[in-house]
Amino acid sequence: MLMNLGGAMEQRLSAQWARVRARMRSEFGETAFQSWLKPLTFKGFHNGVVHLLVPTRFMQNWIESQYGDRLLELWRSENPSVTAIDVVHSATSSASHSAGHSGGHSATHGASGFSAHGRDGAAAPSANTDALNSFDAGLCAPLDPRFRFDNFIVGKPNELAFAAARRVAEADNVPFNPLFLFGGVGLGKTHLMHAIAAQLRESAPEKRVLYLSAEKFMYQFIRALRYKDTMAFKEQFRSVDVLMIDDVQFIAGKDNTQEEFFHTFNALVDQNRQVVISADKSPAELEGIEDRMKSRLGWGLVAEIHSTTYELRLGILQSKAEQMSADIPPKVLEFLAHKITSNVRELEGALNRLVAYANLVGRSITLETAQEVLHDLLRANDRRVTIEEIQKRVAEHFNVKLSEMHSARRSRGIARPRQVAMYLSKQLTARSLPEIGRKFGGRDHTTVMHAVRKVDELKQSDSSFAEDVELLRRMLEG
Amino acid sequence: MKLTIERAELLRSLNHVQSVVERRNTIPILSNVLIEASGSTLRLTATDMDIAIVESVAASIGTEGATTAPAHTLYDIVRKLPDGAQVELGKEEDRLELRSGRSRFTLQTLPTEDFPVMTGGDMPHTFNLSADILRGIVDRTRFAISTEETRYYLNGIYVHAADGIMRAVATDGHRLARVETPLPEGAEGMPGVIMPRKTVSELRKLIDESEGDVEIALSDTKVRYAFDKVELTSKLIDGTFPDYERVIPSGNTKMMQVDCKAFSNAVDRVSTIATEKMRAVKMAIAPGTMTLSASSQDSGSAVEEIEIGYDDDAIEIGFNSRYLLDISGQIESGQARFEMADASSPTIVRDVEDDSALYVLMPMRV
Amino acid sequence: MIGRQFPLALEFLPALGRADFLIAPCNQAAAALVDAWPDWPGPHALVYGPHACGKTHLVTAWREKSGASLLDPARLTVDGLGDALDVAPGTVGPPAWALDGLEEIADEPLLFHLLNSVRERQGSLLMTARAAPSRLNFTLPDLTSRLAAATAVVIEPPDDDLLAGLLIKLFMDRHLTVDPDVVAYILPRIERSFAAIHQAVTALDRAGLAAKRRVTVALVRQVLFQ
Repeated sequence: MLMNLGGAMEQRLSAQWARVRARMRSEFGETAFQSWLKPLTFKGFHNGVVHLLVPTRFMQNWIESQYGDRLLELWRSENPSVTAIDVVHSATSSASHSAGHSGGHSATHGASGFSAHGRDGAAAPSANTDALNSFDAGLCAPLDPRFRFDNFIVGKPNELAFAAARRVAEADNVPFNPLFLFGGVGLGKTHLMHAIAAQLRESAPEKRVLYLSAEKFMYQFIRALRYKDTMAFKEQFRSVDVLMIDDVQFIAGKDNTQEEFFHTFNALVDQNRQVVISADKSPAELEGIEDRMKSRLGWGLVAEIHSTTYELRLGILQSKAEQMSADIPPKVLEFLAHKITSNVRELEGALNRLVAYANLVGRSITLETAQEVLHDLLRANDRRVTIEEIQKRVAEHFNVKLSEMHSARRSRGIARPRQVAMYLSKQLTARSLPEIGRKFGGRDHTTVMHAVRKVDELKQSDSSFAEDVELLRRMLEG
Repeated sequence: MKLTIERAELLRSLNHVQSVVERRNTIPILSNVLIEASGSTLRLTATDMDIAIVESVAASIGTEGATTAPAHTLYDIVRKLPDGAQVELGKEEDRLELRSGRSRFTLQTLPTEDFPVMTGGDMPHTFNLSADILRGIVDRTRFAISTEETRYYLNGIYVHAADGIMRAVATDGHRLARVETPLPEGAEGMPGVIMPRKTVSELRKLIDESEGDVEIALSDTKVRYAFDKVELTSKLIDGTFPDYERVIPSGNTKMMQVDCKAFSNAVDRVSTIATEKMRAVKMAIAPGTMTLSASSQDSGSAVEEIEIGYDDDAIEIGFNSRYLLDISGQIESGQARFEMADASSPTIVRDVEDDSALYVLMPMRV
Repeated sequence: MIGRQFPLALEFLPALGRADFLIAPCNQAAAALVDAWPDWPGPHALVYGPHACGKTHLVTAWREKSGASLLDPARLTVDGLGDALDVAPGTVGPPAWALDGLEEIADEPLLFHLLNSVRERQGSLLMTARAAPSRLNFTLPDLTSRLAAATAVVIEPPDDDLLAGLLIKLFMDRHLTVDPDVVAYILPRIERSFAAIHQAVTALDRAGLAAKRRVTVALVRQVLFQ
């Protein structure tokens, strides 16, 4: 055990340690500090030896070899009685150190936690167990508490489907059976079905409501066949008050399942039990579904959910942002509503991703962040830019001949664009510095390093130059 | 301190302990042997800070006491004394006086308090191995120990327990030797440890002069071998041995059997031509025959054919001839089996009559 | 002369704990995602980035924290999915699974079913892929939209500091002691990608072992830059 430090002594040492850390930080730079020095913790001072703790052996070796001498010097300048630094690691192997250093590394990622608003959509464990249908928890899919009527954004494309769904959820006497909801992927069919089930459970808890996906229906049926238990299976399905089957297109081409589904469906409709079906196409357009089935599916109300409009998308984003209590500039929402047109799920997914990212790394959400984080959704492809393209664009931008990129001329008007092109080649490609040098008229890798340093310096001192470089980078990234 | 001892007894003990003493020492006391006389026993201790050897020998003690004196000098003196002589050792102030017959030597001493004591510390694992088994383990693995110092974890023999078996493994990255022996009682929970090369070679010398059991005690950082009168304590290599089992192939199907004597004689002859550094020989293996060949731009070429047991597809594979000779030297029955896959994958060599040892050999491009 | 003697493929287990993961701006979000569990915005999370960028490392670190079981993409089947997702009795905390290498799954309905099952079981699934979900060439619309809704974070190409740290870490994973001048020699000359750094260290380790030489600038020059 290390020496138990007296109060005043302890305070003095921890102040010294804080100063040593601050100096290391400014001397070695932020990245090195975050990676290597920040995880160091001060354990004590005994007989002239400063004891420091790191989480892993690997870090211990590296800190000793790279920073050991400087650490000692800095300590000595603070406290002349320090004669040595002892760095020990708290874990002996990577496999078993989870317990040992939890305190050690938590310091390195202060910005990691999702704030409460980022979490509200999470399917929190056990949160909705209570909501599970009491009559058959195993069969009915758990309801997602995020899917309610009051947070379904209604617009022209989905108003009929929304009204019909509410009707099923509210009225005892529904004038149509079945309700057939259809539309492309991710437009809100599942949302509406969950909302129906959730509301029914609240307003009519005596009703037996069964909601499941068609694929689950199929797996259940196959299992029943395998265990020769089809009677119980039929019983389960034919005794419900409301049956909701999501994504019915999944049983296309599965003849046995379809047959069973057809009988279940008929039995329920005949007994005046409500059936709600969703699919990606209208009954008539469903492929691999028998004709008699198609016609029965179309007997009730067929409500289409159309592709989203810009207004609906913006409305969805605004509501979602509010729900997440995320601080998102209107410009960003407009940008997303404009750019991500595929469907609601992807739109919400994009917003989730953006908010999650901003929370994870502790950044505010700007148009720039959005473009960066969602680059794959916004750009048609991830084609890597080549050095040749960079040279061409830079030459055009600065109005010099492309051949000057390779020439030996050193006048500033030519050297500067060439340096910018080298800088961008390093930023935007993985090519080695010698290779970049070769592509610029057989220059050495040290020339490339010099160019990168020079451009970095100029960016610091000249803001219009910095904007120029940034503009070029954006253009090249596409 | 004053004592008398038989020259042969003293010589044998000094021989054991002086061998750990390095020829050049920056710390003078490490050149010395600690001499302690008490009761009817003379105790000699030498150390290089990593290894310590302590030997007890019977002597007639006049006055009890202790001192330290230069180990190599003392050993050389005793070695040159005539056989059968009696040796008298006495401490006179800060000198050691040695008398035998008409010879008299006076040696500088250093204070015993300065002599570093190597404590074994707590050694929670203790077991016995017979000297024969220990010799078998050492002899069949030590040739493969690496001398490349940056890979310090390969500079020794790795010993660990696995499923009721004790395994000893050494490798230099080109070949690997693995010897197994039933796990001795008491070794069940032993940690995997790496015995340093120098410890292995000191141990080997001690084994040669002893019979019966050796008591081995282990901790995570140290090992102690206790013989009848000698005790060797050593630090272990502080490192991790690589995941060696992954380099032992399991799917090699080309089996060749060869007489070791004929094989090593032929390899030895053919490799005369191979250049000094690489010493590569090519083995062209076909049913019934192996053609060994070597060539060098400077000196010419050599070919020799030998009979083998083989009936698979023909294969050509090259090896460093020194490694082939090292391994065939370990095959006691005289019949070796090569288990091969192709010209760039590890080959296994075994003694056809002994499963306890296995050698893995990487080929050379030829 | 290098290269005539083949070396044995001696390897060590790399250090794959959370504290062994080097953080830089390019992978900060991915590491933070792992740290944030179980406070994830949804049940599905995805880390994507180029070959050798540390995805498996993060998965390993996350499994250590979450107790997640690893799903083998090559062995997963629709029939076996229920068994694969079975949680060992006595497991505490929310169920968690990891799927390292999304692109290895060719059966899209299977993946779709997996995502649904994880949601139904109120568990968490950490997936990895070489590319963003929208670039994975899945065609089943329900699957692509669910993947698009996963919390996806990217690991971007490494910056100079990370390359330096990683180079050192990989040497140490192989228990190779190198002088700083070796690192200083390699860095400005090598392709600046995760994969290149991995390949370089493997090649140097093997060449050093084959030649029984230390990894020095001279060896580096011979092995990597000639």
